[in-house]
Amino acid sequence: MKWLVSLWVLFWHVPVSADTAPLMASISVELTSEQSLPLENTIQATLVTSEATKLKAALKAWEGIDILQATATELTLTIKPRPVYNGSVETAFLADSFVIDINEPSTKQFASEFMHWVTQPWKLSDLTEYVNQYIDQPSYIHGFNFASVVATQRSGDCTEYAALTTALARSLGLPARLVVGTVIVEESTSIQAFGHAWTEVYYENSWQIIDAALLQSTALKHFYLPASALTNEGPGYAMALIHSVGLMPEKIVAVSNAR
Amino acid sequence: MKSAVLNSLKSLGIAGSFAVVAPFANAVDLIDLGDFPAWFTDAMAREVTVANTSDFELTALSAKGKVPGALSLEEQEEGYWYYNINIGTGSPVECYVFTEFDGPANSLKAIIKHNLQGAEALNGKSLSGQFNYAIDSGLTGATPYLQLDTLYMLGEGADKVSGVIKAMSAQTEQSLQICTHNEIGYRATFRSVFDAFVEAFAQPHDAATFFSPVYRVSINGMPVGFSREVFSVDSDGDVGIENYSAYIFPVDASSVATSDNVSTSWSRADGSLINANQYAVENSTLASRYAISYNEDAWYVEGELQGKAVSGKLDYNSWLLSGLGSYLETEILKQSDKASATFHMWAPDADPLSALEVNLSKIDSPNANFKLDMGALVMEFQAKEHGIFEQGTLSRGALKMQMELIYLHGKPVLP
Repeated sequence: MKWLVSLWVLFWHVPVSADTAPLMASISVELTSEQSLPLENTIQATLVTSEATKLKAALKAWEGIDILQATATELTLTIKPRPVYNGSVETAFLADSFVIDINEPSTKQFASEFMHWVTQPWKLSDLTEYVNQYIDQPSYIHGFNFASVVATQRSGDCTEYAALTTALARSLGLPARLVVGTVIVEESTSIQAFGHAWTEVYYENSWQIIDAALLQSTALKHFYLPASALTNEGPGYAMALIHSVGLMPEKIVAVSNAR
Repeated sequence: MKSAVLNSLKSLGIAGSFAVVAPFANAVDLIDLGDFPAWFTDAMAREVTVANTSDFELTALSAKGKVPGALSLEEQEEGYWYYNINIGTGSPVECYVFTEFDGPANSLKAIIKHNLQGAEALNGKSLSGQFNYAIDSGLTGATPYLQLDTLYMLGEGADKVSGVIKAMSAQTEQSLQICTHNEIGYRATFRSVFDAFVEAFAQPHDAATFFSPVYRVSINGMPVGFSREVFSVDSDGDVGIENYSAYIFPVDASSVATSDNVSTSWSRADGSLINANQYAVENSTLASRYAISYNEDAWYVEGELQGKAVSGKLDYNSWLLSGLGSYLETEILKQSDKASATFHMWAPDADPLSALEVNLSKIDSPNANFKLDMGALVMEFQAKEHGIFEQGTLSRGALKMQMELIYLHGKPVLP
């Protein structure tokens, strides 16, 4: 049995751009037959999931997501591109941790170089631009590397971008948390959905989504559908990740503009 | 994705003539050949009959057998042998033997990279494209194997050429065999050479080994790896359990993530853990290593994860389920009137410093008679006699992992 747990922990491979398709992170998504592109800024969708009750409860933590209907296996909701987390700022969101290890030498070096790289006074968007250019070897092959490892290897997919961005924000004194969920990507002629990870940072009195991985995406819109923040940043972080993956929808159907 | 492959194949040339034999494909093809040029699909379908065989012997590893084709030892260093096997095609089958290696997955990826570099040097052209062509895992004889075939392109424009590297790996006893063939087609022919080569290294089970299952693991229907367990009993009646797992995950059209995991643990005959250690190599890097032991009424863990030290005492200090215990308790529950049972196990990949609580319960569904609930993970599986898993499914979100028993030696009952 134990090897099964080990195996499952390896499965966290998610996308970093729309240029190549990650085989294991794709989530089926369909427009309604009447809906054409482009979409408006608030869309309606039905999430097919075996964890509808848990997901419904989890999504209450974000404004910009409204549950319209819920059954045991489906959630119909409206969603704006960037839902806003409505939770409080906790001291843990500023802290050094095993995963977001801002006190490791490589992370410290990475963060200190930001101050040389950026034009003062820095803006929030500078964080994503810095991380996006710092990771110069995008790759899906990594499972989930700690911030200090990413700072050293300069390689990874969205989880690595998110870990490093979260570490940078905390290093700058901004409360930040790594969030796992689904991103619905609207291209000019199609939509796709992937498992994804990004950072929520508390800046100018509100939580904001920042995403270095998709900074250079040419998609028309991204709709961020969170599942959960990484609730365990210790050596047992893997089970927290698995929990978050479990809250992601199996497929997304009936996507249309909100009625 | 397909269009990227097709664009890469435009205006390609291929040399040589060939006879078409029945197509062969055990592996799951990741590229649909339906829209490919006829010359490519024809080339992929070709096979050759290899009439001659070679006597093969490597006394240092007690390997001996017959291999199709003309075999020659090309290179040898300490713990390393490299053979060419001429099967009558433009390129020979190349087989490597290592006694020190990362594992069937990581080493296979490294050899494919080495072969691609060789193709670049041979053709005087740079690699301009690379795609995962086919993947498989299964058995050759009683030995589990991994397979990854790679479609590649060299050069640009009108000078662009393409090739396919077929590659398979298997671990027998304490050595690793990897064979490759840089030639489009000849899939069944190559497989027969690989089977014969590995068979020469395969040894019968040790007399102390009383149980050894092999499971194939698939993700959304794609065979990505295997897990092999070997249970043997020592003179004190304790059970040594060795587990080898190897996985190749195609993470996009051209990349794979690789993972090799080795664990060694000791169990009492009642299924309780005595001690254990394990390590994992991911993408050719030591990802983790751990050891757990029991001292002065507590479980202690030490090791490292991504290069960072991990050590501590578990909050839980009682009975931990061993690999043997997994089978024993499944059978005990099956024979009892109880609906479920709860245990604790040490699963360091989930959390090295905690005991994971697992609940095993009986269910009645078409493909499963047990459910294993590990909190965030729930697996349904079919257990046959002696609690041996026959097949199981673990679903999370859009991912579905399936495991199936593909080889069985003995049973989880001490002799």
